[in-house]
Amino acid sequence: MFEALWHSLPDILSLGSLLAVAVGVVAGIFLGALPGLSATLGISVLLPFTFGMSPQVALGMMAGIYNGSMYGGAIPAILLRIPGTPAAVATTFDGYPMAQQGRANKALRVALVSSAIGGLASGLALMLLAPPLGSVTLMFGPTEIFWVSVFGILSIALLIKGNALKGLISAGIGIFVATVGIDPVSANERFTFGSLYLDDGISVIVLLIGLYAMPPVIDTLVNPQSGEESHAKEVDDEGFFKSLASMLGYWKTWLRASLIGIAVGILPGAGGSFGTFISYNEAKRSARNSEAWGKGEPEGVAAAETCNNADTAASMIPALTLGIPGTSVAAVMLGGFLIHGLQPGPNLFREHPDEVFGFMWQFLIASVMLLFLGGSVATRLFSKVLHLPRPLLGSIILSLMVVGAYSIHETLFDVFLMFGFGVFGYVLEKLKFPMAPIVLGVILGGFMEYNFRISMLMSGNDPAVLWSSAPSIVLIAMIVMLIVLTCFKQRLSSLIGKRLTN
Amino acid sequence: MKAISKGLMPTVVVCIALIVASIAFIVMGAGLPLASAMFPLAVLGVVGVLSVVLLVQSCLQGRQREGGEGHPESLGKVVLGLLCVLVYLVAVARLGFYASTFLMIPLMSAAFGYRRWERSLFGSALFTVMLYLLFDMAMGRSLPHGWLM
Repeated sequence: MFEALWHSLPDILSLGSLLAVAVGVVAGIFLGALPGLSATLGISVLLPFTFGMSPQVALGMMAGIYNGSMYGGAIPAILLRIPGTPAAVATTFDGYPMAQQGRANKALRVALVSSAIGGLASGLALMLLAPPLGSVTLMFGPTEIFWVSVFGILSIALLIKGNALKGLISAGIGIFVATVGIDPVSANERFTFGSLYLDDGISVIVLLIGLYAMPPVIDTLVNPQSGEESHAKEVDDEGFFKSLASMLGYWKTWLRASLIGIAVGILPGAGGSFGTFISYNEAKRSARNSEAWGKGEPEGVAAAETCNNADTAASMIPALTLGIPGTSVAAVMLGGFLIHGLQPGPNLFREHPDEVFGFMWQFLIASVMLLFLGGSVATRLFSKVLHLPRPLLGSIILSLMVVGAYSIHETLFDVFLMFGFGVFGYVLEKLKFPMAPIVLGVILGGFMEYNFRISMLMSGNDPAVLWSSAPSIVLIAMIVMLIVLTCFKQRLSSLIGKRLTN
Repeated sequence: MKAISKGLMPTVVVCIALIVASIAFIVMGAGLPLASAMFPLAVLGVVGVLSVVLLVQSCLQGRQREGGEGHPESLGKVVLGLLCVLVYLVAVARLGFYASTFLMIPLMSAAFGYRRWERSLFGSALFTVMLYLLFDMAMGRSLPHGWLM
């Protein structure tokens, strides 16, 4: 397995691949720095631009966006106390006080170096953990793949923050959307309303752009307050290397935060912001000067930023090996893999070793590039973008959404379909229905149905095939445990809620 | 059962819409061969049943905190935003992408509070030209053309 890792390296060091990662990092910082936008939106809007690229170049760009946006979120968190991404909330605790004290540059540099270190740790975890897990999953047949898909969708639907019932409904909607079009086994048209445009099914990209980009665009338009009210004082101008030397003492925080980020990233549904709070609290708890935390302690910025970048590649470990993404960004990344003909799951490592191992290198390279691009170019340049008026920004993103949806099949049908999903997504988001299970349902739904039907065909329609192998029984047991755990969790939280109200 | 409050209404409406849509698609899929219909109909059945459960749960809980709260933007502004988006999409289909984008950016910015016309017109022109150079010239991919461009 690790031979393939070395084999993929020359392609990754080509100019096209490196350029794609660099463009992705800069675009990611740009998107992450804009409050309300996110890596999810960035990847979903920019995915159609990668159609003409080779899979490796496209994956490099996605890896760059993911890494860049996680750091980008720190820029408004530090300068304006507006977290660019949910994962950057903990960065505001010490980052903003530092900016008010005239130490904004120092805070940005700590965030940058910590983000790069977190990203490197995460990339290494992806390299070390994904191949062994991938070789285990190679033993899976259609029945086991069916159960893995069920487990993946259920884990995201049930473990994601909020009402589990809404998560399940979202997942069901996604799975149903995946069944629209020509049935892959018996070639019957399903739910196409006689439209040729729907024969190939609904593009996951159209769905992604609608669900993830439309709600923030509408919010950007209707909440037009700009970021011009920066209270940050004139920034200090300490040299980069001088700052770096003073950061070396944070090694324990970097190590701890990296491990927390990786663990949280691997857990489906846990998400980046959850990890950064744990990381911040743990670092504060073990600090000697814990009373200074929250008042401008650079190590607080380090704890938060290391962790939110450490869960990036880690969330791709279950995504690549089992098709179960750890975060919603990872779910969107799975969509990116799909449109380039790479089906995440057990066979990915066998069928596309160069692309998947190359992707791991690109994650590492993106972390290194972040250090240079984030420091010398992007931070100075894109912190100015924060002053862009929000209605203007919303309008520009809207036109990019149209470009993205249209580029897939060069038809306006997809553009109006994207609008429909956007309105639907806006309503669901306001009612706290999670979006990630819908996306995962669309990604895994077709795969799930196909493997279920192949299993049944191979067994002569004997349902006993579904629980005839040891891995299937283990997976069924895991699904049962997941459901029991969720019921227990919901019951416990309702009991606590009742106690608190009484 | 408590009366359906204003905050609960959106959830109730969405649950009812999901139930109706599930039934409609089940009826539509009933004519398909069993092998093709079985999986989507099972999923629709589950969505329908879960929507009923959510509806009942929401009604029993009374005023739902998460439904009507937490988003200060007014409904009128949101509807205006969505209408503007729809008008833009129709304009893209009729006038062409570049012309409608050039017009949409300053007009929509003005509609939502940014009325520095010279800046928004300049930004819009710059952005549209950049897209044209990138797509039509560099990548050879044509974006929708219409009456104007």
